[in-house]
Amino acid sequence: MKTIIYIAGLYHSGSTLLDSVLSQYSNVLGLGEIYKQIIDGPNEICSCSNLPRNCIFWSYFYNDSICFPLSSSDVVSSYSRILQHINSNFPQYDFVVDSSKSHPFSMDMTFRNFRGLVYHTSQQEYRLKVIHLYRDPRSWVNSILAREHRSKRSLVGKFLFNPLFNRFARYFQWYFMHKRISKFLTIHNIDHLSVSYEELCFDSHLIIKNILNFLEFPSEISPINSISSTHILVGNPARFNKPFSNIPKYDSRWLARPFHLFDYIFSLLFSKMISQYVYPSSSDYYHADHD
Amino acid sequence: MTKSNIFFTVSTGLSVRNFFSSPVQNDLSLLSRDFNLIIITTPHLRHCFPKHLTVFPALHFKQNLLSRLFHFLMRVAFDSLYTTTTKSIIRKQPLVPSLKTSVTSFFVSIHPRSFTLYSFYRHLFSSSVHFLTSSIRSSYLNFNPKLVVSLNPLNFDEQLFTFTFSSITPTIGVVKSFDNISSDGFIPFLPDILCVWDTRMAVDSLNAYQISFPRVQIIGSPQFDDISVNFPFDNSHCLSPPVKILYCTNSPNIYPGDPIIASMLSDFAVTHNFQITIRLHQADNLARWHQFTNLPNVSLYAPHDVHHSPHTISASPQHLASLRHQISESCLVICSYSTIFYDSLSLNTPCINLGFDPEGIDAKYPITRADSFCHLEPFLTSPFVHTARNFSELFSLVSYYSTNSHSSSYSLQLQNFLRCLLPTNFNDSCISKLSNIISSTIYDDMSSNNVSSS
Repeated sequence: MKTIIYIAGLYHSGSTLLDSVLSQYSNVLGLGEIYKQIIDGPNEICSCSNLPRNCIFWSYFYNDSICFPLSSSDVVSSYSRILQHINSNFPQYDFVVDSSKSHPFSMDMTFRNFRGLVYHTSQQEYRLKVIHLYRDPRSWVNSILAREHRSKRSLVGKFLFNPLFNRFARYFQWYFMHKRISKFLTIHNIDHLSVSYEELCFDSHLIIKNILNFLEFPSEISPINSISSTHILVGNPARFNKPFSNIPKYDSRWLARPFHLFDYIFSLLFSKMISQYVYPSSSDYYHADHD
Repeated sequence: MTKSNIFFTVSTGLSVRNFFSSPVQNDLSLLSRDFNLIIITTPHLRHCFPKHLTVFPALHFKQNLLSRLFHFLMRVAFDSLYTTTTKSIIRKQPLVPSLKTSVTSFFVSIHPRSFTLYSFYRHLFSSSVHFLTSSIRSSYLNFNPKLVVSLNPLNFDEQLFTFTFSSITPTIGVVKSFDNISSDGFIPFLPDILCVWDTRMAVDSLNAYQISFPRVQIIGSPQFDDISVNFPFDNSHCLSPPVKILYCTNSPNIYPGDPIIASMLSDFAVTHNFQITIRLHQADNLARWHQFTNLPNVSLYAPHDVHHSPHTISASPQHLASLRHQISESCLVICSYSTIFYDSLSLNTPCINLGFDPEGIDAKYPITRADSFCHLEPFLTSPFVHTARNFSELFSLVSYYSTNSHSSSYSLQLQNFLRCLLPTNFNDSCISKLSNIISSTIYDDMSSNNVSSS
C-alpha cells in the first residue's frame, strides 16, 4: 500500500522546502500543493523545469483531449484521478507528498476548509501520514506582512489589510488554525508528527531522521540529490532551487526587521505552544538542565 | 450450535433488489448459512424477499406530536449545520415544491448554526420516543439480535429501529444511493459503522458527521459489482440497423417535459429511421404516455402494474436486468439528470443529458438547477456525458451517436473514469465486503463480550 505524506499547517511555513527535502529520495514523489492546483490551476513551470504539458507527471492531465484539464471545483474527482494516475503509471514510488496544508479563514466546525486533508482522511486506498508543520509565529507573521506589503490592493483592501490590524489578526490565525489542525488529527486518530520549520533548518539531520522513522522509511534508500521525483506545480518559488541542498536554509529576514509590540505580547501569550511545538528540543534541553 | 440473529431493516425496493434479489451476483442471503437473517420491512415489501428469510412487515412507527416536533427541530438544526451545494439549491428551488419544504427552508435560514442546540434537540427527541422504543425492544428482544443492519439509514423508521437496539448490539448503516448524503444526510442517530459507496460519500460523511475510517467503510455500489468483468470495449454492433435509442424518463414531478421531448424525438426517429425505446420511471404516470402506444418507431416499456408501488417495481430483479439489456442493445441513452448515467457508462454506451425545459411545460423552477448537484458533477463535467441545451443540440448529438462508434482509447478512458468513481467495485465485490464487515463486527463484539464477562 502506498503512503500519502500530507503536510498540514499554514502557508508560508516551509512546506515546499520540506516537500523538496523528502522528494530527494528515490521512492518519494513530491507533488506540491495539489489542492491549490486543482482549485486555481497550475503555475507556469513545474519544479522539474518543464511546462505542465511537458512534465512527465502532469502532462497526462494537460495533453489528452479526453482527460479534461485538471483544474476543477470537483476536488474529489480530481484527487481520485491523480491517485489513480500514480497507481497506474508511477508504481516505483512508495510515498507521495501532498503539501496542500490546511486553508485558513473558515472557522467552520465541520473542517470543510481542510479539503485536501479531508479527502486523504476519507480515502481508504492509501495509508495516510501527516506531518504537522509549525513555524515560529513571529517569523510567520512577519513573512505574511512582507507579502502583503508587496501585494497591490484596492483602497478597501488596504484598509482591511492594514499592518496593525493584520499583525494582530495573523497571530490569532496562527494560534487557532494550529489548534484546529491538532484537533482534526486527534479526533480522526490520524498518524501524525509535529515538526517545526526552525527545527528542520537548525537541526536538519536529526529532524529528517525523525521524519523518516515516522514514515517507516526503508533504511537502504538514500537521497539522490536530483529533481527527478519532484513535480511541484504550485508552491514556493524556492522549488526551482537545484540541486536541493541536504541542509535547508533558514529564512532569517524577519530578524532584521524591527520588533513590534505585538510580537512581544503574542510570543509571551503563546509561549507554551511555541516551546512545545516550534522549539521542542530546546525546551527538552531546558527541562533536562533543570531536572 | 444455534445461529446468531441479525436484523435487517429494509424500507425501499432498491435495497431489496441490491441486497436480496440481485440478478448479477451473490447476495446477502448467502449469510444465512452462518446467521439467521431477520428482515424488518414495510408491509408493501413483505412479498419481495426470498422465501427462506424470516420477514416481519412491521417497519411503520407512529410518532406522537411532541416527538414529531423535536424531529423537525433536529432536522432544521442539522440542515443549518451541514450545507452542500445540492442542499443550498434544493432549499431555494426544491425538486418537488410543497408547503412543508418551504416551511423547513424558512426555519433553516433563521436557525443558528449550533451543534449544542442540535444535540439538545436530539436528547429531547430520544426522550420523547422512549415509550415507542421500549415497546419495539420488548417485541423483538427474545430474538437476542447480535447485529442490526439498516439498509437505508436515512429513513426515519429504520433510524428508530436501529436506535432502539443501539444500546445492546452493534449497528451498521448502508447508504443506499449516490446522492443520499450530499442532498440530505440527516442521520441523527449514527450507526456504529456507516458503509458508503465511494470516497466522495466518505468525504461527505466526514463533513456531515465528523466520522472517518474505521467508522466509515467504503464498500462500493452493490448494483455495479460486475462492472469490471462485463465492461464491453466494443459496442459497434449497436450501430447496425435498426439503430436503437433508449429514452429513460424521470419522475413527472421532477421533469414534466419528458412527453414533449419524446414526441419530438419520435418524429425525428421516423425521418432518420431509428427506433426509440421509452422506458418509464417507476414513479411515472402511465396516463401521460397513451399517445405513444401505437407509434411505429417507438416502443414503450412500462414496468408498471396497477397493484404495485414504485418500491415493489424497483425491488424486482427484472427491473435492473431489463435496464441493462435495453442499454446494451442501444447505441445511445437519453435521460435528464439521472444516475442512469452510471448504468449507461458502465456498459460503454454514450449518454445525453437533457439540460433544458421544453416550451409549454408547467415547471416552477428550471431543470438546469441540477447542473451543480454534487453527485452529478463528475458526470456533467466529464467528456462522457453530453448535455443538450436545446432541441437542435439534442438532434445533432443523436445523429452523431447513431452513426459513429467511439474508439478503443475512448473506451479505455471511460473505464479509467469509472475506476476513479467506483474503485472498490473494480477491486472487490460490494456484497462480499459488506458480508465481511457484518461477520467481523459480530465476531469482534462477541469476543469483546467474552473478555469483559471473563
